[in-house]
Amino acid sequence: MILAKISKGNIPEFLKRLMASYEVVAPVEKEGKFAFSPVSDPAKVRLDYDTTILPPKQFLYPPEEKLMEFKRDGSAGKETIDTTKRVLFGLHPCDIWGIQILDWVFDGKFPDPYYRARKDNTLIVGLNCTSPRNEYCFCQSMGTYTVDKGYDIMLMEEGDNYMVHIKTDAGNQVIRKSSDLFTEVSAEDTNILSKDLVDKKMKAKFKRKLDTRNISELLDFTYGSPVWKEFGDRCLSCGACSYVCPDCYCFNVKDKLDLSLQNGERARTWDCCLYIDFARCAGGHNFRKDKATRLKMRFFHKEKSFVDDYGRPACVGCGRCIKACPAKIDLTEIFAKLRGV
Amino acid sequence: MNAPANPYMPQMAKITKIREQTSDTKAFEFQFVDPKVKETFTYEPGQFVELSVFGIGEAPFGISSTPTRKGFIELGIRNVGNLTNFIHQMKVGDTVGIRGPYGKGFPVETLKGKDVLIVAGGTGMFPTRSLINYIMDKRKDFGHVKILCGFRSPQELLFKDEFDTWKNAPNTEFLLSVDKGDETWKGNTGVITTLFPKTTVSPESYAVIVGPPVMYRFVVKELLARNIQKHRIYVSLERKMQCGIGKCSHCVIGYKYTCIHGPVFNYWDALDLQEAI
Repeated sequence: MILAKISKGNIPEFLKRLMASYEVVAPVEKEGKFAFSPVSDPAKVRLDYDTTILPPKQFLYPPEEKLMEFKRDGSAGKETIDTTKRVLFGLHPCDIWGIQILDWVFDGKFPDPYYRARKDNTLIVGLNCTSPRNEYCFCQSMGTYTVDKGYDIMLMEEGDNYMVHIKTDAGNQVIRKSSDLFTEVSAEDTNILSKDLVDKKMKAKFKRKLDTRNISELLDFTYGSPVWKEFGDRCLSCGACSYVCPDCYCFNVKDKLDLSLQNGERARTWDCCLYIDFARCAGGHNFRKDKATRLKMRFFHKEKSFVDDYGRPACVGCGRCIKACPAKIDLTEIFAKLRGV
Repeated sequence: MNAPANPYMPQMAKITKIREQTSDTKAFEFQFVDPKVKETFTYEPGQFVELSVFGIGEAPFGISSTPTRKGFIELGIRNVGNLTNFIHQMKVGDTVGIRGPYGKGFPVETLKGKDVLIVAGGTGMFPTRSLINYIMDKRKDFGHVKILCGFRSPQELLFKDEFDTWKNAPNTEFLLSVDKGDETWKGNTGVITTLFPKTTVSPESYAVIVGPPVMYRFVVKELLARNIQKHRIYVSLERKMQCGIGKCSHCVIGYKYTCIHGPVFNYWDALDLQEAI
């Protein structure tokens, strides 16, 4: 493990230097909450944030993204790929996990060139957690409280300093460019860090829990459970849960024309499986007309389909969906009820 | 073409033939503009493509031609929405975009040497015609073939100019029914399952079913009653395969993507998807 150390006082200068070569996206305060936002003033960056309204997925997979430009003259379309150099700064382990899960989806048999180009041009600077950041976190249950890959640099808070885990060559390069801001790590620093990681991080107790054992089978066994109707009746089909989810990635594709009606673009926008017409086919047949079926579908996809395809659920326990739901639907409560506890 | 760098970019293709089928359905033949793509494009019966018109949109269509006949692909298109409405106004020579082919097709290798029962209802005829003509072109590779077709009315028949060819093909039986006949209709009247008492289905047959959502349950019941084992039954399911490449999630059933795990599913796999049929 390659470690370095940076004092908290040097972070604004480090950010400033990063800004010279990258668009830097970091948590900032937004009307009493926090949001990942491109920043130009290092003083606005709030590394003491609990969680952000939206996860950082929007910088790899934007809410609306142009896929190609076209002319209506029979010519081929022209692909539009964003290759902005970007740093995602201060991501908690859950959000780093969220991005790794998105990688599985957007790579695979048909690699998505839009996502891949953004990801390849993104440097990820993590920020370690040593306890729940707020009452909604249940990452400990999801195995996403810790992360051992998916970042270039990890900042770990130690008093007035951050211990810095340099994970990749890309991470090493930016640190070397600002080597005057970093210091070597002493044997004592390493001891304190490992003691803290064991004592604080590993012994932290999370109040909010989700029992993920046999979750795929649990969903099979409870397919007809009245719990789905109970929560489905409350659901407003607003889609807030999926917009704030680090691992919801459903999209819709739309063509748009300019005023001449001759040139246009094809774009994708975030979509949500809770919307009433999500599974509606041509001719009007809707495979999931009622809300309970759609709500169940969302969890089948995230906690069963992903276990089947990738070996783990597409949930990182960030708790954003619980916080965002206007109907106070809490997935930890749904799963506890399904399990009968 | 089969593995492009950007799977979202369509290849341009021209409409080369339009065959009227019914008042709201036409079969369109397309040829790729790029001669290399035109030459190398191939697919399995039962696969689908994403067809788009720039400025209007994109949608999935089952391929109704067979890969044994090269140089073009044909799609049956019913006028039911924005894109299909626009395509129905298009003429020979007009340009569209096509990408694919996508999904799992019918298991032609498994069907080789076997008796095959094909049950097609309505627009389910589109992908099954690909399989039927594939079998016709490789007739000696397959055993007895029984084709059961059902349509709403005598006006709704699809590919009826090919019925005689199928009827007269060796070792082939072709049965047709319409839900509701008219004064000129002399054939069988009633839903597709009313054809079963008119023929004998060997329990050794492999069955392929494609039709409207409501049809599967009733047809499967008939097959099971005739001792066709579940693993010999294949269904092709229709969902909104918007991206075709396992990402947008509109076509997810239970925990599978129709676009990559299907659209042709073995009946056992379909049974495991609790909302599939």
